Amino acid sequence: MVAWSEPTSYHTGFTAQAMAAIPRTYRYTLGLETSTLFQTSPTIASDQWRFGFVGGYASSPQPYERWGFELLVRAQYMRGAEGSFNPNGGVFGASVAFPWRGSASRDPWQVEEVAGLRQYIVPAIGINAVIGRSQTIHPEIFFSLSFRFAATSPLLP
Amino acid sequence: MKNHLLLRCLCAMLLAAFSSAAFSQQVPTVVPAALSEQRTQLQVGTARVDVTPPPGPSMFGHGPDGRVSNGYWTRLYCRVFVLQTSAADRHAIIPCDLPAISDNLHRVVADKTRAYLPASRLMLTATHTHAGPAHYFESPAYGGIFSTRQPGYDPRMVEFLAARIAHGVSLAVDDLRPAAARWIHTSAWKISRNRSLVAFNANPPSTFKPRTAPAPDLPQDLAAVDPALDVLQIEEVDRAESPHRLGPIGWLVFFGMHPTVLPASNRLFGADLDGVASRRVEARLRRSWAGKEMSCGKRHEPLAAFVNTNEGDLVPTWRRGDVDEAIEIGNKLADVAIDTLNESVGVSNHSAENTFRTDFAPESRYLEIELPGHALPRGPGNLCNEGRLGQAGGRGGSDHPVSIDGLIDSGPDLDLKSSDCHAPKAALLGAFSAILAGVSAKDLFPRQVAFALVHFGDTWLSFVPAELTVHAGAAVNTAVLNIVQNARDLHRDSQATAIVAGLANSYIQYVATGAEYAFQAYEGASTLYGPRSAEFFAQVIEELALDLVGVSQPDSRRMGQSINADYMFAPRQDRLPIRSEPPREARFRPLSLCTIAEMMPPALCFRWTHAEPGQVPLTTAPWVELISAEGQSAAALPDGVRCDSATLIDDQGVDFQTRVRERIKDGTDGLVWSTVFRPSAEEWTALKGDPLTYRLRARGGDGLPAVASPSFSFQSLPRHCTPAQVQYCLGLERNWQQ
Repeated sequence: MVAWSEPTSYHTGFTAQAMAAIPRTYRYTLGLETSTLFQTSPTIASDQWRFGFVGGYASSPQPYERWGFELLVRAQYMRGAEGSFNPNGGVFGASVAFPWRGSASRDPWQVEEVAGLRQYIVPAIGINAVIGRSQTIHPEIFFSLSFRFAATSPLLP
Repeated sequence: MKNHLLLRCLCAMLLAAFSSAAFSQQVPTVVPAALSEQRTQLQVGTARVDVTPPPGPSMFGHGPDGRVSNGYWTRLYCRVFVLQTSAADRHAIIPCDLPAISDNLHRVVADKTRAYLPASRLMLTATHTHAGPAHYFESPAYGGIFSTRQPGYDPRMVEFLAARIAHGVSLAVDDLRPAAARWIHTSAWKISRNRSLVAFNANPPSTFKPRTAPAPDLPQDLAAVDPALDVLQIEEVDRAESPHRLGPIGWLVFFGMHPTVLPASNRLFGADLDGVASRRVEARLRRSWAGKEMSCGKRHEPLAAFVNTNEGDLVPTWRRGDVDEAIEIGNKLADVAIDTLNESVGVSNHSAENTFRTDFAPESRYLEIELPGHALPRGPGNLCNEGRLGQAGGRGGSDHPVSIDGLIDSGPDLDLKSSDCHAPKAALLGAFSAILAGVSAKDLFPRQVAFALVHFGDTWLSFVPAELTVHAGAAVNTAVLNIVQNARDLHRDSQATAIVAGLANSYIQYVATGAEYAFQAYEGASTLYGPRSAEFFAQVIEELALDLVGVSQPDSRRMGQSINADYMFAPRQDRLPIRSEPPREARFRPLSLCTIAEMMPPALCFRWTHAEPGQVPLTTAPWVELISAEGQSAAALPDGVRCDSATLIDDQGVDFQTRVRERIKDGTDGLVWSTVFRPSAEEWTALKGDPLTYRLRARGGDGLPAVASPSFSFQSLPRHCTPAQVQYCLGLERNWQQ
């Protein structure tokens, strides 16, 4: 992650998400996201922690598709290092992701189960605005690669 | 690639946003001025159109047990009958091998056929096969979560069906011929049984009396049925002043019974027993032309269509639930209809019994209604303000219970504490059902439906948008007959017959009587708009009947009018395989041919590689067929009947079960297909005595090559399939083992 703070800072870390698809189409999702990030440059002793909501539009790959896509927005509380200061602020942003299903694709007529667990590798790219002390706004761009388990059912539309 | 995905993302978001918007469509309901002309004698035209989708869509009727199709057994047809004495009274009755008719489908077909007739004269009915496609139902309950495996509303499916049906209407109009017709009203016992006997017996016995008395030794469930079988027989006549019969144009057969022998686990499209019955009656009618000195042609392809009547609680007397039994019961039903054939009856315009008449003229009334909260036309009371499914509705019928019902702790069927409009119905999943569907309770089920009453000859047909139980249908018929038998002047007909034509023009599941509703068996729990539904149906049809006999009604001015269809669509999904360009350098080839000797008559299993389901020529022509090894012509039975195209052995009959299988991984982009060809006993006897050699062939077309099996003789069949291969051929095993 690159943040245009003063000075420009670089972060790396871990993120966990839990999301649920919302009726009627089951393509809109809402969930929670938390991240722990370590600032790699400039080096600073303080970590960064984020927690908040994430949601948006997600089209998971059908059984006969490899790729899906999703567009998420997030609104989160943040505490920790950003550049050379240690704000207590909020993060607002958006990302686009492309869930990829590695298991062999199946045609529609080969789907027989009522429910199943799918696994995806999800590359994503996004932009955030970090609002820190004194109403300062720091833009940031991030890249992520995550592993996702999804419980799903062909009974959903 | 990235741009493509982003574009796809944006398009999908837009689609999702718009798919939740209400849809408004009006269709023409008045007769186009250009069509008005003087009445002449009866004319009838017919056409049969194939509405079998390529494998891949889900099948509708078994709820969440409705599997994704992987092939087809019989083709699905819509049989179009256009009746008129002038273009101004033109009516189309179109029984289709479909699970039901959605309001959306009726409107789209009406829109496409507006040059021929108004929506109010377009009577689309469904045989209610549960092996027909889903995805053309607009409502969230029938296209959304739990409606089938892999649910969704696909407007391309609506377009696919509507375009073919509309084409059939144009063909039938072109086919109009001078005709004479007669009704035969008979009974068929021991074919159907009542699956909700307790609810049936809750009705006062006086509300329904079968046309003929059941045999005293008939088991109770076989006696608690409506055995009425009504046949409208239509003959082509010459144009002479005293016309003579030339040969059959077609039959419309009305009988009340779910045509559901096949189990929920079936994954092949097919018309079930009604498809078998239609083919058998058609074969018999074709033979009526056979001895005549005429060349074979389209006019010698008479149609036989089955229309379901008050079948809500009636099911076939099946035990095994397989294709063989569907053929067995279908043939039995057909034979009752065929027994009404009498080739020596003449044509007369007198009311002498049983003669064919050229003076029958169709007339009708049509009314579209917004159901929620609608007052009973003749009072008192209202329908409920929203559709609601009861607990027992989620379990499925007792003959085909829903397999995942056990996953839900559904509680009691009756809510005796409830005092709301739906009492004593205990709602399935309570408010959770609407939450899962993601719509308000009032938008979950269809709201707009169409009713119609058609008078033709001595018979009054009530086209209703639901599955009525025996007693609910009897209430509708009684309402019609009370009007007609007490009408004044010309409309009075003391000998009239009334028939319910169910599953017509729209669909709201079941309609049970108030007494049945109180029990909340499957049919009562699936009566969506409350305990007054059967009364409502009877009163609406009564209004139509009164208007038709010249007594003006409060709704008379609305009759024939189309109301706005404000649909809350189920989530959109692409389920119909797209008809894309086939691969240019296809190298499709035969893979194997073996004999399933365990079956009697023996069956042949042929595997080959071919294109995608949306690419193979699965159209109005046969695709898979038996051909002679020497030529490309289809093999006819040695004693084949002249003009009987059913003697051609292909996938338009009931002998083939064709499935799409796995993808092949040799760089040809091909798919493995398999078919099981099982001749009937009659065909086997003929083929066994024939020394000729044959092949099984998947036809080519549209840039695709045909693929034929190695040649074989029925006197020396190919090698036996191994047990594992038999399992594969029958669709029970996914992988072929050498």
